[in-house]
Amino acid sequence: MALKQALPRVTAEGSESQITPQKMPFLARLWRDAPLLVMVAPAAIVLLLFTYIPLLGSVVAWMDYVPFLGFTGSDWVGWDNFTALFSDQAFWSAVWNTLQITFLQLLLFFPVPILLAVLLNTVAVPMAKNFVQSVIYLPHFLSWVIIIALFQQVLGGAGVVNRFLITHGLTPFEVMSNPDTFKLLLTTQAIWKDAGWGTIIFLAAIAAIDPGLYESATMDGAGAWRRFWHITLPGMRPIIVLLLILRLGDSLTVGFEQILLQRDAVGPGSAEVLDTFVYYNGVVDGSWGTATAAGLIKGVVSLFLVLAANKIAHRFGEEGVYKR
Amino acid sequence: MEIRNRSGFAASDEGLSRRNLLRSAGLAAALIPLSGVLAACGSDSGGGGAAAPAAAKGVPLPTYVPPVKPKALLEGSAEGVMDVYASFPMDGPRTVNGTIGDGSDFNVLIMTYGQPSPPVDQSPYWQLLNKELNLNVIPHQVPYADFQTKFPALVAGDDLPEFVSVPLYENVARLPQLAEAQFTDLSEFLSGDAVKKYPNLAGIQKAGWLNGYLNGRIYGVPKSDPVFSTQIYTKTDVIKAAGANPQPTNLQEFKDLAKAVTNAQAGVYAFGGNIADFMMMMFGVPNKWTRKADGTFVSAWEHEAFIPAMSELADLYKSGCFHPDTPTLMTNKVQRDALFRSGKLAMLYDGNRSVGIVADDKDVVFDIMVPFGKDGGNAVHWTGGGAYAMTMIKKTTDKKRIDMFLRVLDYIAAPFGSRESFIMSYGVEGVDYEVKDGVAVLTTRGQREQDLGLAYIAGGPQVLCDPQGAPGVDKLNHDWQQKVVPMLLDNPAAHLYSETFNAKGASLQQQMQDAVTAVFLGREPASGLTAAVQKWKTGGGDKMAKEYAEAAAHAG
Amino acid sequence: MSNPGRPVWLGKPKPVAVALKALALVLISAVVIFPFLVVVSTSLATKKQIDANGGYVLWPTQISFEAYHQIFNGTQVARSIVISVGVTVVGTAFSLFCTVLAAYGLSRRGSLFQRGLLSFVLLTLLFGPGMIPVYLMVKQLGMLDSYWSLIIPGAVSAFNIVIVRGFIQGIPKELFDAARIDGAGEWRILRSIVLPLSKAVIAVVGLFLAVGYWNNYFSPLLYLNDTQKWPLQLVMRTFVLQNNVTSTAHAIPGYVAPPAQSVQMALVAIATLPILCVYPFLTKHMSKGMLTGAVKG
Repeated sequence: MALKQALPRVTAEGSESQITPQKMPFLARLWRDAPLLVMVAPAAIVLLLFTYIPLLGSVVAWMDYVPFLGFTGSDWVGWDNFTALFSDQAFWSAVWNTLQITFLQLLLFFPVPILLAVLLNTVAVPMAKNFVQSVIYLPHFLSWVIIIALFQQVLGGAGVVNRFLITHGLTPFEVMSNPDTFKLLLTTQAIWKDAGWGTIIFLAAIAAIDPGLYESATMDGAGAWRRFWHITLPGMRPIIVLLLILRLGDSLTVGFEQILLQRDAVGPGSAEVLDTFVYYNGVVDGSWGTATAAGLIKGVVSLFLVLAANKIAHRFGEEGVYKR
Repeated sequence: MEIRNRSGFAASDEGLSRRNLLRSAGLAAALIPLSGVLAACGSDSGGGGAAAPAAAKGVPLPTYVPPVKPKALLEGSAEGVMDVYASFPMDGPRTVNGTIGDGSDFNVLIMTYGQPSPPVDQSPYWQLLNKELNLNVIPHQVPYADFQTKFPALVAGDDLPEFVSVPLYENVARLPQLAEAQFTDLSEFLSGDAVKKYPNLAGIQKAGWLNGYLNGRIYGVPKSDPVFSTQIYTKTDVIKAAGANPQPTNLQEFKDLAKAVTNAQAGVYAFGGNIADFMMMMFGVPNKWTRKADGTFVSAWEHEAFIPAMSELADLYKSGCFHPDTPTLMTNKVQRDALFRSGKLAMLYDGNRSVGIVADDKDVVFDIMVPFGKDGGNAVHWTGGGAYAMTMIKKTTDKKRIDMFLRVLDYIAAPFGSRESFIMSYGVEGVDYEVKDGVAVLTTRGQREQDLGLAYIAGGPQVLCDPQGAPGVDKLNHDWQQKVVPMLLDNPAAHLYSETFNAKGASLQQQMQDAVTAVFLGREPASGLTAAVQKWKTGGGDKMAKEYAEAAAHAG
Repeated sequence: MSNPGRPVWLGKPKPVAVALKALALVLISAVVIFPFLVVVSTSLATKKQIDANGGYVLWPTQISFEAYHQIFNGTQVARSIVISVGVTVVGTAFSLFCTVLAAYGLSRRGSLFQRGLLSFVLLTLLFGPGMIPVYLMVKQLGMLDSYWSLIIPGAVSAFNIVIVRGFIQGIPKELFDAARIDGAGEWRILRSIVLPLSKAVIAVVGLFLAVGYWNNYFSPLLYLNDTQKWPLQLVMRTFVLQNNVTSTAHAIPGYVAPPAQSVQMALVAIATLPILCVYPFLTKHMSKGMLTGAVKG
């Protein structure tokens, strides 16, 4: 059954088969793990230089930062930037919109690349499979301006569909500027643009599954559905969980550019998300403090979400992002 | 999808909120100028801000000495009507004498509205200017839409070049303080009659200078802008086919026109964008602020005609004479223009410079609608900020350097018809332009080399001259301008300093734009604007009014 | 078997399932190709047709290469493509180097400082610095106006490290244990086990990175003052934005009319094609069966 363990997933037993490290003296561990530390070094240095040290600049969240006065010359304003955000009802409305969109995308968008990858995996004609694989991520490269314009050309008030309805005496429908369905529209656009792009990583996960497993499962009489359920899905599960947790951590971030372009059409009531709110209430005024404060708030919220999601993943025996 | 959000951006940044946001902000800045008509006036006063609270009485503005100009085909006027010329005189008089530069490097931050300039060794135009100015011009080009992103970084890193041209249609945050901290006070060289040493700069009018007049001192030399803000273009063939009158004289006729041209079956509609500003001007709503006799300032949002105008706008939208895709077309100028050119929109409301873009397609026959009051008579026409860019020099006490800087700008600001102006506009004969029938015609290469952008950093009144454009368009525009002059209305707060406006003006303006858009598209009743205005007032509008009143009293 | 790609164990497919699948694939392909077809068609169409269609064309009635001619005639587009390719290749290589090393270095639970370093990496997923502090750092390191400013500051993404690490952790422990018993050091394990078995994920992350470098206009905008060094995306941006100019036009002598929609679409096509060519090279690393091969070898 060596093959069974060749599954590309981390099992709890697998990880504990390590030498128990805590028993070793520090110097011995250092000697043993020095190569690993050297390997991490380049990435760690880059992160230190271009993320951690610049992160010190986040003090401007407590400042009325003015670029020409610099960090030392700008005034300290305490928690003003934070309270200004928290006390604005529009801020909470934007947060609520953001969470709704995130939820919709988790529900409707997140599974699509997984299903697409599985579907592609079952295509046995190499030509067809290669072709679809090579074109499926095309829309990812088009800007939102183009994607939205094309949506409008098809579904807009004067779009192909509505023109057809009008000429056949049917009632046209309003999609592009309907605040009630706007979040669904956003999700649909996002699926169109990026679902194909998203399949790539799942295809890689499937590629890592040993075909021998399918072979022996078929020998044992497993049908397509059972093969999917017992081999393909478990093989993809770690990466699915990983991406799910990371997406959850990013709950307060949804497509800024996509929404900014369509915000006027449906109004801030349903289209204002956290990032556009910060843009219109901080960035346009050159208020760096507000924008930085919002970034920090998002970071803290993400931290909690990731920790919580990770914990839940552990309950289900998954590795998640991070495991003690 | 997180894959895009994270890894797609991974190379440029860690996909993290803050930088993503700002990165997209650059993009957003690009979109805003075209996001409907409100934008046309939304940022114009952004560059303003004069007398700071503590400043002493300001210095006098530069004395205006009208430039010597060639005989125009159609004469303009001091009120702002632009001169029309059939072609650019090729043998104009010199307006700048002597050597200008000292052979040194001239590092200048320039907005680029086109592509990056070809390098100097491949650009005879640039070489010619280097020779003319006796300088080594080194442009630091920033795509104009990304100015708001790059400029703060340059400021924070103390990386601004010696000379800096800033756009005034963008809200440069805390410009007066920035000027005071980092740029040279040019008052001594430019105030009053001192400017006469630089005759071409003396040919710049007051409306332009006010933009560089900060804290009561002169910091910047402007590139002047026409006083007119927006126009409605009417597509002659479409309106004719509908048997309608392209020049209404009151609201009712305007509505009749809109209804007559709309033909949903054929996919033809009157408009494809927000015309809120046009309606406000038709209803006589003032240009952002009114200064009352007692010196207090009242915002246009509080004017009694504002809500009725918006109510009419909403009715017009509801009546179905706007293109069904208007909500998305508002932010897509490219498509709007295409629909107008192809006759799917009978009218196009846009910034006055769009006449060039409309006229670019010579097959498009159009007219420009003269504004009218709702009950007949005159509308008001809001003026713009007077300049779209101004150029400053970093803080220095080197008077020779300052003098050289001003001499360079004096050259660049040479008026239409002068030798210098011709060189700035046309470059080297045989390379950048060719002479056909006695008229200079820019070559493709010449157009490319113009991307150097140096011509756009300083200058006086512009003229209408487009020998290669559609015939008759300049005259059309000229006639329109003459009719609009009596309607011109300034913003009394345009060049006054308000700390609140400086810090929160853009976001407050956005709030009102959102409210207006909601009414326009029928999401909110017009009566809801009362609450929006109240929110705007308590959010900072009242403070702005107070600060403007103080600043105006101070300025006298 | 008529179909060589079909493994024997799969058995004979049901006709209905095949038909449904084929239909799904055709639909998906149509949906994803459609926007790109519009882009290419519009780039080849005449202005008249584009206007008549309201900005976009599905199929050009008359083919015109004018847009492409305009783009390459006397502009620095060709030059900027070379720069973009260079930055993308070097940047992807450098990023992959950092990412894969770090992913393996962080993959063994219980190694010295592993937890601390992993947190150090993961926290950057949540908190990001502002644009200005990063700019100041790039300046401090003397990277302004250098191509390195486009490569190094964004080279390391915690997301990519986490992904690669997840795949490495999926490699059977027996392989590592066996190698260690044979006396292999970490570097040899990396070379002989981790790298060959992680080809698929390295290919995927490499693609993410390459696309990221290719599409990046923000770093050059901030860090490169010398326009001659601009990569394609930034040069392209100046083309596209020109269309939106309402602030300076016409009244300025020498004003150049904005490029037509066809030029913009041609630019999109030009900017997308090179990066599309990368993908087919990656697919071969994503084929099945590598794992068994490696275990046996």
